Amino acid sequence: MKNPYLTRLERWARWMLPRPEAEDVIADYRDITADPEMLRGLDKPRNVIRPLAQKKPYYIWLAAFAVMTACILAVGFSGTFIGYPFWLLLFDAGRGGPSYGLQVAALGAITALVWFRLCGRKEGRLSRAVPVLLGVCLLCISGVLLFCWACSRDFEVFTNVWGTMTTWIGPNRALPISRSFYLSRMAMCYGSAVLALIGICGLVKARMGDRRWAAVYVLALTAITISLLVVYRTGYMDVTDTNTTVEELSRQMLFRYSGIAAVGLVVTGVSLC
Amino acid sequence: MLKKDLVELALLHLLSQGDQYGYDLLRRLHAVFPDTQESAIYALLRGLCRDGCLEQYQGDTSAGPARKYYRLTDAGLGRYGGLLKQWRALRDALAALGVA
Repeated sequence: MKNPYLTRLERWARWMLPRPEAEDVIADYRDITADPEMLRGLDKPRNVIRPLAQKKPYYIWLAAFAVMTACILAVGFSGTFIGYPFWLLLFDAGRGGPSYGLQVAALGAITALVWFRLCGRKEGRLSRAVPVLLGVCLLCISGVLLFCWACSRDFEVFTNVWGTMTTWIGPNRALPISRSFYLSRMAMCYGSAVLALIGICGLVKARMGDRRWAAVYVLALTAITISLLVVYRTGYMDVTDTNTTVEELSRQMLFRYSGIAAVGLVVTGVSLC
Repeated sequence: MLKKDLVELALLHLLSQGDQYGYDLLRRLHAVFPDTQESAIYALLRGLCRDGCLEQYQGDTSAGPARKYYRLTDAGLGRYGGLLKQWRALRDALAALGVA
């Protein structure tokens, strides 16, 4: 059975030290902790590792982690009630104009890709949890694109599924919406918050173990971005303009966001290599 | 000369006698400096590695995980010489004052 002290020490070493150094320290402490007398005299794992960490590389890692976490949390939670200020800042700043959520997500994904390619390490066989979580993200992306496709085929399909609500959306509040349409958008908003938490788990695992866990972060960020861009765009579909229909606007969304999904999948693939 | 320098001198001295296994180094030094935490001694060891005074290599083993050994580099020998000189000067100064 693995020594619990060594398990905690391994976690701290992999979090605070650059990977090759962490492995050297763990190898030394594996022998030290095997001696019960030495083990008794050892300080807490955190206090053992802290003096070994060089300030500059550790603070650079903390800064990179803060950027990646802030990007996914700000974007992922912006669709929820508590994240409304971020919604205004990242998506709805121009009231129907350009949104900055995509740029923030791109910053997070590029930081993760560059950081873990340069400083991460592969560890033998990939954990089985990685394909499972990537599958969940892919399912979310497929669901969002399916939603756009359904809107582009016949917007009335939503009304037929679960009746109309007494609420309207669009710039002039001209578009009556159905319960199923409303609930789909809600699922995208709150599903994004869950994906943000999954993405952060991916980041922590990529630092402490196999760098390919960063792929979970990248794909979760892709799914979140597409979901919230769809939520944002569907809220500003202008049906008062006689030249465009909801179906036409949805087709444009489907085309544009399929492109973003493709880019996200390519970056995920690179993270996995 | 601080206690940290004395521990460092003792560490470099042990390594000047031959390559050492990390665990053995710590055990021997902790026996001489019992009130100094092993983690503090280990931090000194890693610091010397980082400064290029020591280097690590994988030793040969017939069974079990490979052991990591430490050896002195030329820079480490220079540092050892410097600390030894400081220690001798301090010892002579104390002797001149009559400190036994």
